[in-house]
Amino acid sequence: MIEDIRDNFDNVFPAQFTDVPAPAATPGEVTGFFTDTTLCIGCKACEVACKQWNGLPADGLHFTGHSYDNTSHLGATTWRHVAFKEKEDEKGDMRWLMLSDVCKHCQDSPCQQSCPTGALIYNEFGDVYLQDDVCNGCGYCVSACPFGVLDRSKEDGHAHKCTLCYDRQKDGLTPACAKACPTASIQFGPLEQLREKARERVATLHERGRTDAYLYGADAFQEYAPLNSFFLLEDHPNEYNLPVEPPQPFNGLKKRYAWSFGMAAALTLAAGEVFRRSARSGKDSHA
Amino acid sequence: MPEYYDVPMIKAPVWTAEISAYFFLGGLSAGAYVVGRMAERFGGGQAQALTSRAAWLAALSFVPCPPLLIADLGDPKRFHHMLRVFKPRSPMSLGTWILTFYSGALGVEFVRSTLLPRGSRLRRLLGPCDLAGLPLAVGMMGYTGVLLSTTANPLWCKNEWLGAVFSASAVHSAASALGGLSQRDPEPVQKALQSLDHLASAAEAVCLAGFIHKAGEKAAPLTRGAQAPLFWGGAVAAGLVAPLVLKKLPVPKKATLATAVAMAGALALRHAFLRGGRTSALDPSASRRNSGS
Repeated sequence: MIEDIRDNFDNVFPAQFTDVPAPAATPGEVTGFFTDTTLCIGCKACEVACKQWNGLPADGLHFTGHSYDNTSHLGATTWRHVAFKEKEDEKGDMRWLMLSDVCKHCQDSPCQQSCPTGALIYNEFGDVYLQDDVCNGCGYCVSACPFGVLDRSKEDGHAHKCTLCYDRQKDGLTPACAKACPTASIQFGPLEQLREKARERVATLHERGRTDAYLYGADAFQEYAPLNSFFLLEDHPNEYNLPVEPPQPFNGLKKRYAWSFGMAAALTLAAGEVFRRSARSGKDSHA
Repeated sequence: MPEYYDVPMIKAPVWTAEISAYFFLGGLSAGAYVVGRMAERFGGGQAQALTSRAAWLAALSFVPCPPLLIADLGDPKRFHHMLRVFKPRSPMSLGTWILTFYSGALGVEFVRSTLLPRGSRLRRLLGPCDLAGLPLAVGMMGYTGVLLSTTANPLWCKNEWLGAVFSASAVHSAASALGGLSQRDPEPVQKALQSLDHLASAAEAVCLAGFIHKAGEKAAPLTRGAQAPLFWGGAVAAGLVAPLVLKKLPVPKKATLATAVAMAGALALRHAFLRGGRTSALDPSASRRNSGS
């Protein structure tokens, strides 16, 4: 029986007080990640580098039996997650699908919109940043995110997610995962440059006969804005546990407010009406 | 079907039974406030007793609400961080501010109708405070369902009927509770409460049907999944059907009994929706269905 390794040391998130300037005060270039799954070799250097740089707590030892993936999904203590999918082709040959998943840093992000404390903000790099010293663990972002990125930690009760190495970016450094990636599967840079590079990469792959390659999140979805961290995939998004069309929960919000408040207001007026009638009938019975 | 080892695509809601209890009590409080104010404004002298009884009910059911909400936070001592910004686009931020100001309006109404003597000048002067209180009570009843439906959770996601269900259930539970507590009131007052009870429960039933119709396959956690007993047995049978049937049966204390089952039903409704959201989030096929596959 393996005892929980978390019992052996102080398993906590480091205190974090990053000074964030008002976004309007320092308009800068929007940065992002381009994660090219055709280059991923599944080494998990990104997961390790992320954990180390950000001082993330351990999340225990779990053996899932899902290929080499024992992390399963992103979460409060996992900000990069390497997905391993074993796929059999028509000839019966096995091949790997590997993807280093990360917060999508959505341009119209449901977590940022839902956050009632203002802990989730857009920083001067146009990325979604969670201020750990503000979050009170209400859990709204956890349910708002259509990618299942955020989760609430049992260690400190706050929600946590990838910061796109905000602290490193402020010092002009590349985020830890991109720095550690040995195959340039994870690339970091100004968003426009990354998109251009990614489109060239898709064209090259198509020329080489890998015609399944396409970009995920570089352009807007049907109802969801583009993602600052986008991906190059070679199979159906669901094979990587990504949604085909992420739902934007904030679409139609006014309509829902109108229905709900409308129903409550209508029944309030109805209450007035039943009492008005009762007063009249009360008078009649006295008369 | 393309999928990833059946690992959930989205995270399960972190909200637990405290939130179900809050949804019920907050709705009951706001509903009682509305009934009390409307009774005083339009019900004439015979509704005087109902007005102060409604203020008592509204206040007593509101008292546990802030502690329940704070207890459910991951970091309860930071509850006041909710008050550092006003973001009406976030239903939770809007709800926080509605709750804050509603507590003030409710406090005024409670002091006014239970402590100040009838016919006193101050009591008359404070009456129009409900011009602020009534919209806030409407907000209290209405925002919680919108909050749930503004998430990526397949069961709740963008279903406009959900907010209407919770609003109708709030008025329904308040009318039913006050009906049970007002059995010695004049006949017309009891009749009025009963009409409101029936009207609100009909509205709730229609909205519930609308919700299930719109959610389609995504309503499975409620209709035939883990929460089906709580949903059909609690929310529908106890909340909507039993109170009507009971009134027709020759049983003792049937009005009190009808109120009790209606309360249980209203609480079961909130809890079935909340727990159903958890089942829904943990089912990756529901998330895939909710995101265009």
